[in-house]
Amino acid sequence: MPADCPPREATAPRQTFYRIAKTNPPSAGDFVPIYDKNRRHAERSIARRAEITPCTVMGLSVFSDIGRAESQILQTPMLGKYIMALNLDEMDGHIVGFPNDRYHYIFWPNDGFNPIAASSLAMTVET
Amino acid sequence: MLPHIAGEPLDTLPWEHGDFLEILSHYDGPRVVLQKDAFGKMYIGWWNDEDDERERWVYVGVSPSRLRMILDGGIASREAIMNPEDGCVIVLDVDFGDEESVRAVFASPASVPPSSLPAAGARLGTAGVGDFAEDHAATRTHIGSAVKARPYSVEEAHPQPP
Repeated sequence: MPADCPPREATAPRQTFYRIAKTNPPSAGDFVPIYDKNRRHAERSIARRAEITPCTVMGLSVFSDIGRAESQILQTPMLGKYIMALNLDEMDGHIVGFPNDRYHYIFWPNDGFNPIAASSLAMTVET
Repeated sequence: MLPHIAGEPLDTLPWEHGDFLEILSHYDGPRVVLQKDAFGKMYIGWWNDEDDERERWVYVGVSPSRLRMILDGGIASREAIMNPEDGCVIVLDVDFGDEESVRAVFASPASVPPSSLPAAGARLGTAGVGDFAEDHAATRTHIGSAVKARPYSVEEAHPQPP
């Protein structure tokens, strides 16, 4: 990651966040940043919206509100139907709020963080 | 593997591929985007599905009034896709490895697997886009009077978690 990633304003998470997964239990594939999966697409989003940086697309989207996660699934159901709760603390990584989206955060896990072990099923959304 | 969708192939896309006019929804990356063709016509694209090699987007051409209704939540996303003004959608498959490799077809909305579409009643305003539509200055710039402007405060709209 770039030297300034996570950004200076990122804080240590100390609450439950929610992440969408395709399977229950989740797989490693549910925690791959888009920068690793589809770099060109990620770079184009960086070019278009100033607040989306290379660091943003190297992180993972998580929500502080389970209803917001549910609404994301309803809009784009093929992201997955499982909402995983991640009880994060300061040892797990860093987060920062995503612009203009009240319950949306970007999470950069620390080395050694095991997202699969940290996940527990919070909701299944059938569309 | 993504299901095959039959349709009339497009030799060229109406818009400059990848040059999003705006990103309306972000989850890890763009999930709903706005594009504009050389004549000023707008298209909303929904990320639809993916496999190990590619991802699929479904685009719908929209008039300014329809765009406003969709962004305002007056028209649900699924309805916007299933009943497009043009009568068809553009299904775009983009390879992960080389995004210049794209395949696009004009297709009937009915040919898109229903389970991959936004859920009935889901509206862009409920997926974080409502804040965007009302608050994002770039949107106001690009789609003019289609979106009502409102001053935006980062602190007010996005408090840090405890």
